[in-house]
Amino acid sequence: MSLLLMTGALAAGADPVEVSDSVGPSAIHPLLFCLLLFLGCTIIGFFATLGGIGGGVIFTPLFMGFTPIDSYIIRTTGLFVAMAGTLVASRPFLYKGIANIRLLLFAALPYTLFAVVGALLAGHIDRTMGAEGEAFIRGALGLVVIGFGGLFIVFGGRTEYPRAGKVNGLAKKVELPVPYWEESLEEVVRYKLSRVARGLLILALVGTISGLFGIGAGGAVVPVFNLVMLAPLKVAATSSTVMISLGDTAAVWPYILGGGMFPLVAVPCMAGMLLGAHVGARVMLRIKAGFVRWIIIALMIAAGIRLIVQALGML
Amino acid sequence: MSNSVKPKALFAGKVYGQCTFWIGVVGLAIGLIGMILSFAGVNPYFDNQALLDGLWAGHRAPTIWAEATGREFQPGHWYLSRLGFSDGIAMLGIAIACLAAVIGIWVATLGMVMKKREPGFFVVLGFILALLLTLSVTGILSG
Repeated sequence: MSLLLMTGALAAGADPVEVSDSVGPSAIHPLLFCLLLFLGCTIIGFFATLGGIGGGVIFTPLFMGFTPIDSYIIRTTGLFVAMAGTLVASRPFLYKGIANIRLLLFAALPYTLFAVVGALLAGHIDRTMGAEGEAFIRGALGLVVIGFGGLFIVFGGRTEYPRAGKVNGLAKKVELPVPYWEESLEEVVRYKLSRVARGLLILALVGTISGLFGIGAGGAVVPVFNLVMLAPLKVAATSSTVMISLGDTAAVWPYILGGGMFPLVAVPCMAGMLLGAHVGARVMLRIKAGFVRWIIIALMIAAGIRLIVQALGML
Repeated sequence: MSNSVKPKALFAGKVYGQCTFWIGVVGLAIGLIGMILSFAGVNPYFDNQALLDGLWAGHRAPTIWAEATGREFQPGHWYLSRLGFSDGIAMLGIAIACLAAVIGIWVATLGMVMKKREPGFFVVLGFILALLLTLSVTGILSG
């Protein structure tokens, strides 16, 4: 609720569709702005963790939809906070061997390459297409975010331990699946992978979306690993986190070198997101957080509709 | 292998996880220190109020740069030549965090080469990824 109040207050400051010619006095002090960003991102990080997704996929559409800040700066920050969260989260998954380093190296190649392509495309659109480019970014992100919301609904039918019918020859030849120790079962889980080529193609598309719109896209990567390539859910979720640390690192640099990163925005967002995710992970062990998923889906659909309305208003 | 014997995690993964975690934490800590110094008024590079005004007005990044620093933005690693400013330190911290995965993948790939336990296919993949990330950081892939 605080986040909505904050974003509402920011939105009241200026309409993102109309860019004013002169700099007017802001209503708040930069330090207060930082604290509000920190608080807002703590709430986003908290609820995103309870909902089982990365913060970037909520951060970017919410800030683009409900604040007057330029979308290029928001997308830069969105990629950064998504990446920072995965850097810190990856260590235990890799240390315990749940995240499959072979699978993520294999899948990270198309994802990373196309994330860079998306980021370069974003820079090109920002420099050359003006208001039309901005309208395209907002409208397309609105559709993507609504699509992700739909994916979260469908993703309710995810499979903990899917069984691969036809095992992929390449995956078998290069020994892509790596067995891991499952604490809850107290036994080693061995699995097979299927439809690897199809999975890589989809990951290339997801990478482009991630780089172009500045979102982490973990919510799309996990279903690709779990439902398309048929990796166990835990392997899919943890490998996705580590892979995003690689892909978003490659994608964030074109934005940084293009001048979209301001410490005044990035540092409080990153600190808030990490704190929120940390607290969320602790709380998640003690409460049933199923309802949070529906709050997130509602927020994403609301932000998506708002972005589409903004885009139509700019044309 | 028995189903009750815990398999060992792969070396490359463990090395990557350690590198990204610690470099990321160090970068984020430096970023926080830089921002605290900036708010304490220790030689800030940006005029924070002008920066906020520009953000608030929905101005594009190059316009905000001009308003908040009095200079035009020069694409690239601007902070490296401005480490005497608190905002330069904050941005250095962000950059270090953004380098964590690049260093991590290089170390993991070199680890795979030295340990000789991973199939060569994954060593090649690691090398290509490390190269891709390095090209992005240096700006060669950044347009």
